[in-house]
Amino acid sequence: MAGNPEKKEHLYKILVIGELGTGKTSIIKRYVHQFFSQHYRATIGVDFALKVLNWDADTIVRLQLWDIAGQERFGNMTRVYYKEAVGCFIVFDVTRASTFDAVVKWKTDLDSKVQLADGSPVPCVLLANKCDQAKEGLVNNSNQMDDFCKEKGFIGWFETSAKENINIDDSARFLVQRILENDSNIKRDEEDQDRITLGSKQSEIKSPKEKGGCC
Amino acid sequence: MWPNKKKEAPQGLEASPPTKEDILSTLENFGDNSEKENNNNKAPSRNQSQDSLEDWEKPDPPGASFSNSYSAEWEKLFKRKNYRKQLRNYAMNGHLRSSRFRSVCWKVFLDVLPDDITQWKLSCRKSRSKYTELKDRLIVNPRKAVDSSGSDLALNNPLSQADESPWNQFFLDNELRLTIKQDVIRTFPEVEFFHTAPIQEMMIDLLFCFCKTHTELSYKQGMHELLAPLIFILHCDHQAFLHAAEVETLDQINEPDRDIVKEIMDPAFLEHDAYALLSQIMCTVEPWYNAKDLPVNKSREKLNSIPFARPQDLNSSSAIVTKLTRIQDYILKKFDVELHGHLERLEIAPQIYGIRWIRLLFGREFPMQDLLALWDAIFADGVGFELVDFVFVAMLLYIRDLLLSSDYPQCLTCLMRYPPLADIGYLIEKAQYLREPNHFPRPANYTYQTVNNVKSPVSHKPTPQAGANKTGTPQYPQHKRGSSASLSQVEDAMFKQTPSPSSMARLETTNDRFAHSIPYEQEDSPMNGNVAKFSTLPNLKAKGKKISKQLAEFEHRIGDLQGQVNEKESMALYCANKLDIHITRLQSEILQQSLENEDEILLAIAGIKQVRDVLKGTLRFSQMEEEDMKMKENYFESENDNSSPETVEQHSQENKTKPRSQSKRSGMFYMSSEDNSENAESPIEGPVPVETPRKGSIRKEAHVPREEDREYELSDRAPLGSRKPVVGGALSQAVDATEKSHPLESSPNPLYDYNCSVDSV
Repeated sequence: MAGNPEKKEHLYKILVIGELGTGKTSIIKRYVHQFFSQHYRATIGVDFALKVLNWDADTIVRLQLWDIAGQERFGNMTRVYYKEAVGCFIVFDVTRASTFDAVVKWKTDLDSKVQLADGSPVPCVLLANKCDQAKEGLVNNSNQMDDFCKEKGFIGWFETSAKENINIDDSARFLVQRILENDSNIKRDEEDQDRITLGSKQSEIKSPKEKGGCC
Repeated sequence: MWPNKKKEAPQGLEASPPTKEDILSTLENFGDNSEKENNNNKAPSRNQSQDSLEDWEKPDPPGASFSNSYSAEWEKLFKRKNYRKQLRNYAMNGHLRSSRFRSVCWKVFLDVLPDDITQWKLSCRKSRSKYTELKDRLIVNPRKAVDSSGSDLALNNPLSQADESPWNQFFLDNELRLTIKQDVIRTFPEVEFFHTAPIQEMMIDLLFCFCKTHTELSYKQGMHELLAPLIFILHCDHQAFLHAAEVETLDQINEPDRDIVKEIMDPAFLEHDAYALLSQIMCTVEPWYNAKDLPVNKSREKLNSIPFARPQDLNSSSAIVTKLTRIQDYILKKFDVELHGHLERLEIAPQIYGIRWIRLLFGREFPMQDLLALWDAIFADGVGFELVDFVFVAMLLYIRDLLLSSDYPQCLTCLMRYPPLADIGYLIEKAQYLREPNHFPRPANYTYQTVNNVKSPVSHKPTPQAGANKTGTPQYPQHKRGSSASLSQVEDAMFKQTPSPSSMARLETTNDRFAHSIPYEQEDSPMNGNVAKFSTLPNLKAKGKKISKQLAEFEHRIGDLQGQVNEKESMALYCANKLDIHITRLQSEILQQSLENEDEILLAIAGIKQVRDVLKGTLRFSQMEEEDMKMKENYFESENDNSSPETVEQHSQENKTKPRSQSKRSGMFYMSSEDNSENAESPIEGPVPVETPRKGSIRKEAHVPREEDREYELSDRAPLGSRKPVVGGALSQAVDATEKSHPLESSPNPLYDYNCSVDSV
C-alpha cells in the first residue's frame, strides 16, 4: 500500500421522479450544468445525466441522475428505470396541488420496485419545486410538511427553485450524505466493524430532520 | 441514390418557417441518374438556395421535358400510371426532401387520401367536415350551453358539483387541456414556428380532440411531437401553394386537377388535415404508447407478422417492450452479436433509450430536415411502419464502435444523445438492407468516428442553452473528468471536449468502491482493454461462411485500431492544450516576478513549448529527436558531473558517433536514447509522461526487454520543475495509485519519476 490515503470513489444512481412538468429536467440541468431554461422538452421515457462531486479531500462521488418522464408512473417500465438506484428525489410543483397529491403514489411505486441492498427503502428527498412562485396547499405549512415526510418515509424535504437556483445543491448534498451513510453502514455490516472512524463519524451526523424543513 | 446529400444538410430550417421568397429562391433540381428523372424541389431555407443553384443549372437529363414549375412537379408526382409506386421510390430515396407536395405524399402513404386522384376532393371534404364536427362537439363551452338551451341553472353553473353539469365536464376538460398545453409549449424549443400562440392553440385543440375520441389511450407525452412535424410540412406546402397561386403557375395545372390542388392545399384546413394524418399515424403507433395493455392489433395486419417472435415474448405486458426486446434480442443480435453482447453485459435494456426513439419515430434523434426525410421513408414503406425496427438497428450499428469502446454511462449518454449523422439516407438504405439483405445492395459499413467528432468541438465549445442536446455536439460523460476538480474552469471545459477513452476496464474501476481516480491512468487503461479485445477478435468460429464476413471483421478491426489512434491523437492534443495553458501562466508569472535566472527558465519554457508542438503535431518528432541527440552530447560535455555513472557511459558511447554542433542552451529538455527513435512513427506517444513503471512494463510487453537497455536523463532541471505543475498532480497520484508498487518505486525522487514516465512510453 502506498503511504497516501486512498481516494475513495463512489458511483451512485439517483432517480428524479414526479408528475409531469414539475421541473425534474430543470432541476437536473441546474444541478449539472448550472443553468436554467424555460424551454426543456417533455422527457420521453427516461433521460440521463452525470455529475461528479468532490465530496471531500479523499472522496469522489459520481452521480448518475435518472430523469424519468412524469408519464411513466402509468407505465410498467419504471422497474427497469429504478433498478439499482440508491437515492431518489420526488419532485412536485408548489403551484399545482395535484402534483403534490401524486407524491405518495410515486413513493409507493418506488418502494414497491426497488430497495437497497439490505432491503431498506431507498432514501428519498421530497422537493417542493418552483418555490419562487405562489404556493398552493400543504407546502405553506412547514410543520405539516415535516410531519408528512416523517409519515411517508421521506428523509427530508426542501423548497427548491431550479430557476432561481434555490436549494438545489443543498438538497443534493443532503441526499448524497445519506447515501454515503447508508453505504458505509452496509459496508460496516459486511466488514464487521472494520472501519471505526467512519462509524463514529456517522453517529455525529444523524439528525436529518433539523435540515429537513429548511428554507 | 441520394443526390447531393451534403448540400442538403438541414440548416436554417429550424430558424423559421419558410417564406414565399425562400421557396421561390430555392427551386432546385435533383439530377437522378438511376431513374432518369427530374424532381422539382423546394428547399425551405435560404441557406440552401446557393448550393442548389448549381444543380439547377445542370441540363435536364434526357427525356425530361418539364420545368421546375409547380405544375410540373404535380404532374411528375401524381400523374403517372403507377404513381404510388413512383412516390414510394422517391420517398425511400430521399427525393421528397424538397417537394412542395410532401404533405400530399404523406396523405397518400398514410391512406388519408385514396389511390384514385379523382376521389381526393371528396375524401378531403369528408375528413375535414368530420373534424369540424368533432371539434364542435368536443370543445364544450358551458357558457354557450347556457345561452342556447337555457337549461336548469341549478345544474348549469360553475359551482355545481353534479356530474351532469356541463361545467363539471368543462373543468375536467380543462385539466386535460392543461396537461396537453404543458407539453405543447415545450415542442421543438429551437423552432420558432411552434412558439406562436395560434399554432400552440391549434395543437392543443387538435390533441384534445384526439384524446377525447381515444379515451382508452387519452393523452400521452410524445404525441405532440408526432403532430408538430405534420403541422410543419402542411404549413410549408401551403406556403408553396400560395406562392404558386400568386405567380400564376398554378394555372398551368390542367383544369380538373387544378381544382383538386386548390382543394387539398387550402391553408384554412391545416388543422383538419393534420388531424387526419395524426389519426392515421396513431393507429399504428398507439400500442407503443400504451404501456399497460397487451398489444391489440387493430386492423394493421403488419404488426402481427413479427418474424422472430417467440411465444414468451408475446406474453410481455406491453407492446413497446415486446417490440424493443425483439429489436435488440433478435434483429440486432442477428447482425451484430458483439454489440448485442456488449449491451447485454452492461445491462442496457432497450427500454432505457429506445422508448423515445420509437414513440417519437426518432423525432428527437435527428434535426428536423433529416427527420422529415426519414419519415418519408417510414411512411412510404407501409402503414405498419415496419421500417422503424430496422432503422433502430441501423442506428445502433452506426455507432457500434463508439458503443463497444464505451462504458455504461458513456453508452447511455451516446444512446440518449445520438451523435450527429452525416446522411440520413444511409440509415434508410441500411435499414432496407437489414430487412431484406437479398433485395438491397449492402451499404458501406460506415461507423461513427469518434475522432472527427471529438476534435472539432475543441474549437467551438457547446453553449449551454435550451435544446443544447439537439445541437449535435457529442456530449461526453462529465464524470470522465476524473479528478480534474482542482483544475481551472478553462481546463475543465477543455477536458469535457477531450475524448474520454473508455473501456470496460474503466467500468470496473468505477464500480470499485476504492477506485482511484486518476485521469491519466484512465487515459491509458483503454489500451489494456483494447488489447484484450483484439485478442478475442479474430474469432475463428464466428468467421463463418462468407469472405464478406471476414472483410467486415477486418473493417471492424481497422475501425477499432483507428479508434485507438484517434484516442492517442486526441490525448496528445489535450496534453498540448494543457501545456499551452500552463506555459502561458508560467510565462506571465515569471515575467512579473522578474527573477534573476529568468533566462534559464524562459529557455526551459521554450523547451516545453517544443514538446507541446510535437504533441500538436506541428513539430516533427524525429526532428526534435535529432536535435536532442546533439544537445545531449553538448550537455554532457559540460555537465558530466551532474549525471549518473551509467548515463555518462552511455553517452560517451554516443559521443563517438555523433557530431557536436549545438550549444546546450538551445532549450531542450526531452532526452531520449536511440532506442526511442523507434517510436518516431508515433510521435504523439512519446512525451506523455503519465505512466508508472510497473504499469508501463506490464502494458507494453514489447518494450519490456528493452527496459534495461534504456537510459534517460535530464539535461536541464528547469523543465522538470515546470513539468511538475503540468502533470505533477496526476503523476504523483498515479504513483500513489499503483498500490502494489514498491515504496521505493514511488519515491519522491523526481529523476526517478521522470525516468519512469518516459520509460513507459
